[in-house]
Amino acid sequence: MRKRKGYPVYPLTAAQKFHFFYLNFCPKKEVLNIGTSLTIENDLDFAVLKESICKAYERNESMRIRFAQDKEGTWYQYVVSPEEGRPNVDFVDFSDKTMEEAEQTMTEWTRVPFKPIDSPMSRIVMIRMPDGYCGVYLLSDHRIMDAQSLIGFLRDVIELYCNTLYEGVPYPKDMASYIEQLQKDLAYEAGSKAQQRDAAFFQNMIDNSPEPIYNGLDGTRRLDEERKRSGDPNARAAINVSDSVDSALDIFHLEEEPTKRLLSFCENYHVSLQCLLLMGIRTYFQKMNGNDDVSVNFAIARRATLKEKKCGGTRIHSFPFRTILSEDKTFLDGVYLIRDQQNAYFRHANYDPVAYFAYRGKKYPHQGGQTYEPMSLTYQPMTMKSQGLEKLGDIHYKTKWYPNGATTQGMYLTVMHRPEDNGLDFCFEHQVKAVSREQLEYFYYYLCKIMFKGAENPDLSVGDIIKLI
Amino acid sequence: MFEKLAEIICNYVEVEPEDIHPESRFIEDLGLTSFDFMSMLGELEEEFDIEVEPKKSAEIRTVQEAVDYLTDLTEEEI
Repeated sequence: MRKRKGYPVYPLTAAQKFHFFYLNFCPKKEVLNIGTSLTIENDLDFAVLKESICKAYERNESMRIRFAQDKEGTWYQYVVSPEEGRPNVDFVDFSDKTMEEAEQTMTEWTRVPFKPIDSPMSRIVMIRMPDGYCGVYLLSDHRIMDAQSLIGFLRDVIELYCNTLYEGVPYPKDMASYIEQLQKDLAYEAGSKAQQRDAAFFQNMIDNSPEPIYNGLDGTRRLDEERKRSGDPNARAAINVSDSVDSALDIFHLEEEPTKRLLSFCENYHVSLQCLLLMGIRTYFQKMNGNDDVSVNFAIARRATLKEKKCGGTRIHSFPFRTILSEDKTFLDGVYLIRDQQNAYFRHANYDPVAYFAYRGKKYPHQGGQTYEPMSLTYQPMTMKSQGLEKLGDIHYKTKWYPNGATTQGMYLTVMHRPEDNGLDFCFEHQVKAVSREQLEYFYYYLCKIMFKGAENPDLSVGDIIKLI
Repeated sequence: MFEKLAEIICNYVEVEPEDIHPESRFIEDLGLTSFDFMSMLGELEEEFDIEVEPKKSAEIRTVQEAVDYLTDLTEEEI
């Protein structure tokens, strides 16, 4: 077995390769940084918190991942021992700063890329905020962590902290082994029957459908430009990004009451909120571009079993999600079509997205940067039993995401539940030069109108909804 | 069948087997996401060497409905 510094080394997973793939094209290496803070309104025992953080690193193999390259330039990973992986935990007191200054400092921290080789891929700082809230700021690299593993890690810190300080709080159950899941993923990727079945699913889908078509946020402008530029009046892909990866994060808040109406629709018709979101999004593009055929990227977290949920690491796979829905179909027809298609994707989600795009690229070769998908959607689900931070009980807490300032995509929408008031946050990370705040306001306004009109009148046709909103 | 299914459900969500009842709904009561549910169906297919119809997967809501469907399928296979 190959080793690095005495530790066994492992190839990258498909999910990690995806991040390495687009990192190659991005001049700003902080593009993979995820910065977040979790603070609670109570004062904290920082000595206990520090030990809880160190214990959480000890219990979590994925927080101790390191990367390295061999002589051929191939990246691989290894997991260092708990002793070597013990983090340096700093404390920063922002008491004498304003909230804006504190948040600005953490935003700056989020814009410092990690050293790529043999280095920790996360940083954690204990903080006291100007408003008296105390907690942690966590910065990690997307190649070792995604949103669900981030929540899982913070949950572990909290449970360890509470177990130390409060009687009757049980010691948290063990985390699952990252290496065990990694080996499982690598076995799948090494030509397993399951991989062959999944490849056949996606390849058949590509082979048996006509070429997709690009739909723009503001209509056919970009596709028209591409057709003019290329001299091909039938071109169906367009460039959706700008020449600058500089990004902004714009967040729109949907309040509790309207959120409840959307969730009621989902409960009544037994569909996930992601289906409703996808229906709203694709209908918006249908309205703006006049095409029945709409494709957007959507992310699948790939954490079903408890072992997958508790092993940390990064597991997201993202695929184009294409729906062809004529205007005479009802809104509910569309939602059910999306549900059934999504369920089929879920069964094959372990397939390597880079392989998917390579296969599609062979069938429809086009220049770098051209795409059929104008945006990506990630939905952070809240199950009926909440996923973890409920242990804080009545204690008020705040979470905040800090933008890393760069993105390789024109527009990336993450929809997440807001624990403070059970509303929804629509977080748009977008290239500043590719998509403006005004365009996002327009998009968000019509997306909500479509979803509410459809949820209230599921038997209305898509065409009628487009006319009515 | 019920006990086997309950055992498999416990691999997906933090729930004790004794808290799983025939009338328990996978999403609303047991806390599975639709991704969890579809992955679990994949495991059931392998476990029982069956093939779940895609349409049916959207219709199953409760543990009992899953038990009934699986029982039918495994009997048909025999």
